[in-house]
Amino acid sequence: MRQWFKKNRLFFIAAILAALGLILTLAVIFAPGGRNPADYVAQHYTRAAELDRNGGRAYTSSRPPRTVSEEITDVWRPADYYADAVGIFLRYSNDVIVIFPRGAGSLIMIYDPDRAYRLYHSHIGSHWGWSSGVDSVRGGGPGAGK
Amino acid sequence: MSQDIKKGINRNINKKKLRITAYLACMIIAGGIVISILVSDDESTPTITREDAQAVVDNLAAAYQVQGVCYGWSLSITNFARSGERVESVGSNFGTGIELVDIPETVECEGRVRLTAQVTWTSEQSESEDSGSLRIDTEPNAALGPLLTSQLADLGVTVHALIDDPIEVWAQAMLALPLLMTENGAFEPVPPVISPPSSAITAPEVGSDWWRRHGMTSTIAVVCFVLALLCVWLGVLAGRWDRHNQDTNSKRRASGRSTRQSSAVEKTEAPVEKTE
Repeated sequence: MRQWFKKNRLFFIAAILAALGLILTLAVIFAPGGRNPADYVAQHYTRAAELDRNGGRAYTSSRPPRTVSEEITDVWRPADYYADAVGIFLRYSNDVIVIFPRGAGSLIMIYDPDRAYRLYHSHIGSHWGWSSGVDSVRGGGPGAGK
Repeated sequence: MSQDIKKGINRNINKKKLRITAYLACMIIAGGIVISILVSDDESTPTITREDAQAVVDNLAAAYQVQGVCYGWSLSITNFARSGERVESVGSNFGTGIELVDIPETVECEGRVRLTAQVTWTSEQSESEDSGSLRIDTEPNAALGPLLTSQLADLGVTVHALIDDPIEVWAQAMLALPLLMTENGAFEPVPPVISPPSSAITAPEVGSDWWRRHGMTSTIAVVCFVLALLCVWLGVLAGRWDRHNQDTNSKRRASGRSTRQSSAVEKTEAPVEKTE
């Protein structure tokens, strides 16, 4: 048995690596959370067509914007993130998700990126790519990571 | 003899190749270290630019118009890498440099929220760690302060983040505070400012969502498959090599046996010759 293992150890390692690769591939294929961020929102929040506005699709949640934002970004990491007095803006490749407070819960709007940029330019326009100074010091000073 | 010379030459060439590879690897590692030192050795103390401060003030002013809550801040950064250089910033929704305590009593504030953030960066030579603190004081409901601090942590505003990047985290905190006040149920939500439609504005491209989510896992899976293929290939090569060695050994053994047999025959035949 030991002799057989010694003779075929490379094939044994190959089998383990292939199995690991297969498990990871299956984990990617069957990962929960939909095909994209908009799909995730559609699956997890209540559609509220009566609240659709400015070309955006509306969904509602009983949880506050901070929690909804956490739920979405835990699954789909945004390319950019911005929160101000109005709400939380999440930038994805094909969508912009905006989470507004609504009573004790949230109103979640999904927009096409170009439309969102036009509508909320005064909010996100200068911050997504905030270049005047905040980003220039990103990474910290001498003690960063100390 | 000539085979031994060839083997010696091959061994020398392999040694040379190894030396060159090791030399290149050392150069790359040393270069990386030098670059990382140069990049991380930015000892300058960050300051809040006028534009950034104004953007925060504008946001807070808009929130004040709706909520009636007064928001203020005090940020202090002490940098011992620059002989204890100190950068301080105070302000409120009424402007940069105007602290909440400076606001005359005639100005109505339904509530007051003040963020106090302090960061101390030690020098590279110092044994002590960088430090920082983040506190939110609220009036009239003082219990709201710790709650807001924990809610800000959910948005990434933590002491650790503050130490790493004070200005960015200060801006994040100040911009998010009115939203958290709304979330806590006491104040009206601030309506968004909808810009007039303009076809000139287009969103910049960002990378794939799928890749951002699954990129790392997919890369590891591909690496696993490639390594598995490599192992199979090496296994096949090793098998062939073993078989080749076995064949050569058996041939050698066979030829050795035949020479031994022939010499034995010669030995047995020799006395016959002598007798003849």
